Amino acid sequence: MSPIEIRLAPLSYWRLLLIFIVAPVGIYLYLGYLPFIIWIILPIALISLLFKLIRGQSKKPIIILDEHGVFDRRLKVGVIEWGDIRRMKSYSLSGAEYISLELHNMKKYASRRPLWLGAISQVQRVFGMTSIAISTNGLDVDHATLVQWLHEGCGMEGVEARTVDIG
Amino acid sequence: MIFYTGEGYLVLVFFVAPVIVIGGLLYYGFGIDVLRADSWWPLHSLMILGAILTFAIGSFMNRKMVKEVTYEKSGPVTTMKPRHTLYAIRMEYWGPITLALYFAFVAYRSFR
Repeated sequence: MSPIEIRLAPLSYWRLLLIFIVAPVGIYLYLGYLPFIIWIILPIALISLLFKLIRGQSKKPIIILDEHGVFDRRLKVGVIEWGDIRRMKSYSLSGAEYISLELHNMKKYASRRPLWLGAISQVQRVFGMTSIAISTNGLDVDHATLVQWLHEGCGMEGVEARTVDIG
Repeated sequence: MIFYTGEGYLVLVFFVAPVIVIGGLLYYGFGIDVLRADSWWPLHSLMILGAILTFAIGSFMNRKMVKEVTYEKSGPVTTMKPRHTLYAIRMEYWGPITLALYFAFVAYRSFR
């Protein structure tokens, strides 16, 4: 398999504009006031957005697929070798899409993660996912293509993704 | 929280569709209110129809299965899975299940 690099999709300024300006204005016009929770969320979101805009979007690949396996920078487990992947399942959790990886030796990979990330990822198990799940939102490739590439990496071609929706 | 695959979330829609559509036609067309009629049979019939509709549409939609691959150490194992499920149960099976739940509820109400 020739190396494939997957990066974050470019920020959509129109979507950000919609979220941070149009949505609060719309809520204000509809309700006649801004709920307290919006007053809390909005400044936090604006500060984090400014921080992100100043820092700029990372040009580094988030996911790398090569002949050895799949590497997702966010998972902090290193390269997951193709031979260690037992099964992959697609999940859609209220619009947030994931590819849950079931591994032959989960403990080996789970032990590589920082304790805090391991603890947070246990929440995913409530939804039927494993603790190692690749988030596919906001990437420059779509979910189905990534699933296809993962299957190709594991040595199987032409497998359709079957998504479990949780809403 | 609803867990479903494909169009599995439509189970309840199909089950209650006859009550809403035919019940609405009976009410606005003939002045028969199935929820307030002396006999329970019109409502029971519509619920049975809903179960049949769920079963029929579910069976039709699930006629083509989807491949799911497990990469065992011995080699890949392909299993066929239904496309449309609700809480991991095939869509068509929800027809009889919802009907059983409905009649259990009716029995509970009548014997209470």
